[in-house]
Amino acid sequence: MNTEMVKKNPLHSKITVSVFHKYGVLKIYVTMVSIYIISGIIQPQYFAVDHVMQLLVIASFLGIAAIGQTLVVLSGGLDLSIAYTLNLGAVIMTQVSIEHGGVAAFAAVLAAGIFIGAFNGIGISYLNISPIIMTLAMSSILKSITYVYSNGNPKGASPDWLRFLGTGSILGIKTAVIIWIILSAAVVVLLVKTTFGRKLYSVGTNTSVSYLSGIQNKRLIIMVYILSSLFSVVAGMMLVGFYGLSHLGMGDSLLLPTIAAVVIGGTSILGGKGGYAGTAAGAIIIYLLMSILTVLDINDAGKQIIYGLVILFVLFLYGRGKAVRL
Amino acid sequence: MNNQALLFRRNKEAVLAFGILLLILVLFALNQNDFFTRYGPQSIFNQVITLSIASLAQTLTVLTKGIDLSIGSMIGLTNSIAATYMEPISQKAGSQAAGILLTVIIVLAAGCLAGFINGAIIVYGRLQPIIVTLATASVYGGIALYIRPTPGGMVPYQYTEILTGRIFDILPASAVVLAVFIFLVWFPLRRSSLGQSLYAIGGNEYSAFVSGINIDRTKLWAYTLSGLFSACAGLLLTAQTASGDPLGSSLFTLNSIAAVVLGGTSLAGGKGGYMGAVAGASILSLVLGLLIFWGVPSFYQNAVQGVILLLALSVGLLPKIKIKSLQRTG
Amino acid sequence: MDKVQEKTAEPNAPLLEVRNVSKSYGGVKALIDCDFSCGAGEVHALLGENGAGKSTLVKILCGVVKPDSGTIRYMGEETTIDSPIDASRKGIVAVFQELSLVPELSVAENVFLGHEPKTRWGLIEFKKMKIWTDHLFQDLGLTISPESRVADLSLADQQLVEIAKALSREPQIIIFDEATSALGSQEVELLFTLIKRITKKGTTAIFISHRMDELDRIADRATVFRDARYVADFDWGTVGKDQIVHWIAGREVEETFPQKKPHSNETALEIRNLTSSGNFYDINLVIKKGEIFGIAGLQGHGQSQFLRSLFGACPITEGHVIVNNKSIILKGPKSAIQAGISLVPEDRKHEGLLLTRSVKENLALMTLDKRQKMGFIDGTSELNELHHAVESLKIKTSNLEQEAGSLSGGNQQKVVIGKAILAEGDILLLADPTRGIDVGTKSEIYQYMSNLAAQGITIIFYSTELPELVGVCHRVAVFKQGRVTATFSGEEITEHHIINAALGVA
Repeated sequence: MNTEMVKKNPLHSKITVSVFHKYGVLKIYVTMVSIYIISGIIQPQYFAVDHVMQLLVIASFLGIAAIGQTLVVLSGGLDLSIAYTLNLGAVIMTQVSIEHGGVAAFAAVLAAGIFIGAFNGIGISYLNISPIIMTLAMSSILKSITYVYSNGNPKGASPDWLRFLGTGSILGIKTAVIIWIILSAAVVVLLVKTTFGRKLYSVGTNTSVSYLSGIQNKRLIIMVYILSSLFSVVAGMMLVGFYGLSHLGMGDSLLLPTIAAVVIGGTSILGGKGGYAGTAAGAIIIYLLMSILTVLDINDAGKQIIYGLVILFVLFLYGRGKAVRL
Repeated sequence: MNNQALLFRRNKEAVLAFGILLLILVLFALNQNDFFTRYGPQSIFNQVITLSIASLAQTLTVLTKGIDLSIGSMIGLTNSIAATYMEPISQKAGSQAAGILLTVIIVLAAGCLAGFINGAIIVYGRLQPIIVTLATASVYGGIALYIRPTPGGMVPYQYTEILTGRIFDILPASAVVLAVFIFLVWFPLRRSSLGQSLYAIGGNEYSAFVSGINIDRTKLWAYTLSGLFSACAGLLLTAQTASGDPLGSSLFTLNSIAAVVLGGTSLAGGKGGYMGAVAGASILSLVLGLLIFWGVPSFYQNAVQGVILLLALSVGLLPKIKIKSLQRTG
Repeated sequence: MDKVQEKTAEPNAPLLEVRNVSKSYGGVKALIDCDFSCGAGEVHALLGENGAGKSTLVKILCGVVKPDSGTIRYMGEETTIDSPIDASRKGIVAVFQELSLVPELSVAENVFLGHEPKTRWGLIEFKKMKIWTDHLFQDLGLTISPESRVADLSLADQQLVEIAKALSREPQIIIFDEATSALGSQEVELLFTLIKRITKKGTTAIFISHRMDELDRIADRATVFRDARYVADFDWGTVGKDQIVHWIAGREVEETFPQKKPHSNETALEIRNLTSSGNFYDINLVIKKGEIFGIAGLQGHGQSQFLRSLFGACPITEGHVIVNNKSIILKGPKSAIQAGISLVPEDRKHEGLLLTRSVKENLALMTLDKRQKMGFIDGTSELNELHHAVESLKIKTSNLEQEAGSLSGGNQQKVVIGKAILAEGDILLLADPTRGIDVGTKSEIYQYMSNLAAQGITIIFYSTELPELVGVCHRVAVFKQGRVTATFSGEEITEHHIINAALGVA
C-alpha cells in the first residue's frame, strides 16, 4: 500500500520538485520578485531589460563565489578564505598572462585553486582543525602571499577572451550571466543527481552515520573545499574579465555576502539542509537591495544597517530552530 | 593520575600557547633596547591589552558553543561613540573628569545593549549565533559609521594617560587593567553559577537543561557580557589611538576567535578558559611588534599570524590524531 | 478495557497523583487522558512498549515538557511542574536513559550541577563540592574519583554518576528511565541495594525497564501504558506474566520466534586470533553460510567493538578475517562493504539514520557507489530497488520522501536494516537491533532475519536480550572480558547456560 502511494507520486525523482518544494525555495523566489517589483515602483527604469541584465552581471560574481560557500556550508563547514582565494586567483590571472599568455594563466589559476582547497580540506579533515579557524588562517596567509606576489601592485591585464566572458554578450545576454547560469545548473545537478551530492548532504547531516555507511568523509571534505576554492578563483577570473585588470582587495567585499546569500537562500548554517537554487536568489536579493538603497540615496551607514536588518528579517522568516522544550 | 599531570593534559593547548608567548617575550627582550626599563612592560601591555579584553568577550560566547562575529563592530561602535562624544560631554558637564566618567558609562551601557540585542535575537528568535551576529555586525558597523562618518574625533589627554600610562610612574596602567579583568572579572565569573552554566551549556545543552540550568538566561548573559567587554575593549582602543575609527576595528572579530582557539578553547564549546585566550591574544599582538623589530615588510604579518595559528593547533592535535586514526572514526 | 484496582499497600492518599493528563507533539498524541499514582516508599514500575507514553509521563513529572491538559496532585496539593528546576525543588528527579551529564565537567561538578554549594559571595566552593561528592560516593559504595572528567569514564560509571547526581538532591521521588541498560550485573546489584535503602526511608522510586527479571526483584506496584493510554495498574506479583504481556501488547503474543532452519555447511566467515587491544582478544570463530550466530555476554565486554571491528570501524591489532576463503583487509567501513559485510549499528539515532533526510536517501546511502553511472544516480533503478526494500521490510512510510526522523522507532530501525540489506552483502552484522523497539516489530525483525538466513546470508547477531538469542540463533558465543568463554549450539542454547558463562560461573 505504501508503494502504491509512492508510485502515484513519481515526481520525487524530478529536480524541480526537490529543489523548489523541499526547502521552501519558492518563498525565497517570491521574496526576490517582491523586492524587484518594489524597486521598479521606486525607480521605473529598473523594469528595463538592460537594468535587469546589469544587475544579474553584478550578482553573477557573488553568485559564483557563493556556489563554493553553499557546498561548504552544506557539508557542515564554513569557508572564510573565499575573498583572498578569489583575489589571488585574479592576480595570478593578470600577472601570469603577461609573460605566458592567457591559457597558461588560466591553468595556473585553477592549479592555485585546487592547491588552496586541498590545503584547507586536509587541515580540516585530517588535522581536525575547525573550518572557521582553518580557513581564517588560510585567509591570512593568502593575503600575505597575494601582497608579496604582486609586490603590492598587481600588474597585467585581462586577456581578450576573458574580457569577452566578463563584458561581452551572446544574443543579447551577457556572457557573465550565461556562465553563471551554466555553473548554477551544473551545481544543482551535482547536488541532486550525483552520488557526490548525496554524500555531501549525508556528511553535513551526521558524520558518524555517513562513516558507518561506507562514505569516506575525509576525502569528501577535501573535495568540497577544493570545489569551493575553484569556484572562488573562477569568480576572481570573471571579475578580472569584467574590470580588465586585477587589484588588491578585489574580493574583500564578497566574503560576508557569500555567507549571507547562502543563509538568505535557506541553507542551514548547521549543514545538511538546503541547496544552491536558494543561494542564487540570495545573491540577487542582496544586489537588488543595494541598488534600491542607492536609488533612495541612502548613505553607507544606512546601507549597512538595512543590510543587516534584512538578513535578520529573512532569518526570522524561515531560519528558526526548534525549541529545546516542547 | 596525579593532579598536575591531569591539569597539564587537559590544558595542553593553553600550556603550549604560554610556551610560545614566553619565546616571543624572550625574542622581545633580545631585540627591544628598553625592554628592561619601565617603558618595556608598558609598551608590551599596551600592545596586548585591547585584543586580550576582546578575547574575554569571545571566550564567553565560544564556551556556550556559540560565537560572536559582532565583536569588531561593537568595538568600532563604542570607540566611535567615545571619540565623538567625550569632548562635547565634558564641555557640557563642565569638568573633564565628570565628562570622561559619563562617557564611559554611556559607552558601557551601549555595549551591554548591543550584546543584549544579540543574545535576545539568538535566544528568543532561536537562530544560529554565527548568522545573527554576522547580521548585527553589519547593523552596529552602520551605526558606528553614522556616528563617525570619517575616522577622527577628540580624546582628552587625561583619558589616554589614565589607560595607557603608568601608575606611580612604574606600573603600566594596561597591566593593571588586564589584572583586573583576570582576577576580579574572570576568576569570580568562573567560580559563579553563571560560569558553571556556561561550561555546562557548551558541554551538552540538553544535559544542562534537565539539570535545572536556565539555558536562555545563561546565553543572554553570555552575549550581554560579550557586548560589555567589547565596549571595554572599545574604550581601551580609544585611549590607545586617541581617536575613533568606525570600521578600523573589524579585525578584532576574527583575531579574538583566533586568540581564543590558540589558547585552547574549543569552538565546539564547554572546554577551555580565559587564561589561554590571554596568551593567544598576546601572541597574535606581539608577533607583529617582533616583525617590525626585524624589519620584515608588513606584507608578511598576516601570513606569520596564520602560520602560527595553524602550527599551534596542529601540534596540539597531534596526540589526538594518533588516537583518532587508531579508532578510525570519522 | 481491563482495569484492575487492587487495594494499595498504603492506606493514605498517594504521594503523587496524575489525572487525565494529555500531551501531543505536533499532531502526534504521546499521552491521552492518562492516570497514574504512586505512594511513598514504593517501587513503582512503568510498563509499556516504546512509544506507549512512559517517557512522556516521566518528562512531564520532571518538568522537561508541559502537559497540554490534566492535573497533578503532589503531597496532597494540586500543583504544576514548570521546569526541571521546579521539579528538583519539589523533590522529583530523574535518571535518564540518555544521560544528562556534561562530558567536559568533572564528576563532582556534574553531581552538583545546578545546585552547587556557594560562599556568601555567590562563588562556588569547589573544595566543598569535592568533599561532599566523596562522602556521597563512599556512602553509596562507589569508587569513582570526584575529580575525573566524565568524558573519561566508562558508560557504566557514567550511569552510576548519573544516579549519584539524582540522589544528591535528596529526592522524594526518583525516576529511573531505563537506567540499568548500561550497567553490568554487579552495578545492577548495587543499584538495587540502593533503591531498597532509599525506599525504606520513604523515597518513592519509579522504575522503567524492559527486563521482567529485574522488576520481579524490586517492583511493588506497576502501571501499564499502551498506545499513549493508561491500561491498568496492579500490585506486583498479583497478576500473571501472560496478563501483563497481554496488557502491554494488547493482543495474545504467541511464540514470536520463527522456526530455526538448518543452514549450509559451507564456511562463510572465518575469524582467526582476532584482537583489538583494549577491546577484545584472540577471537577464533568459524561461521557457516546461512547461520545466525549470536553474540552474548554482559554489556561492555567487547561485543560491540567486535562487530565494529568486523566492519572496519574499530582497529584490529592482530589476527585475520577470512571471507569466502579470502583474507580481507579492513581499512574502514567502505572496504568492509566491498567485501560483502554490512553493519546495523547499535545507536540508531546517532549512527544509523540521517534523521533529517528522506527515507529514500537513508536507504540508498550504503549503496550509492554501486548504483552510480559516472557518478550519477540512476533514479529509476534506485526507486525500484528501494520500493522493494520498503515492501519486504514492511516499512510504514507515506512516501519515500518522508523525513526518516518522523517515522516511529520500529520503522526507523527497519530503514537502518534495509540500508544494510541493500548493500547485498553475504554477511550481516546486527548490533542489538531490537533495543527499544515494540514487540510487534521485534517479531517482524526475527522473521526477516530467518528469511535472510534461509537465502544464505550469514548473520552475526549481538543482543543484550537473552530470550531473542535463544529464540533465533543457531549458535551463541559468550563474551567475557573481551574473550569468548563459551560457545553453545542447538539445545545447549538456554538462558541459564548463557548467564552462567557470562558471569563466569561454571
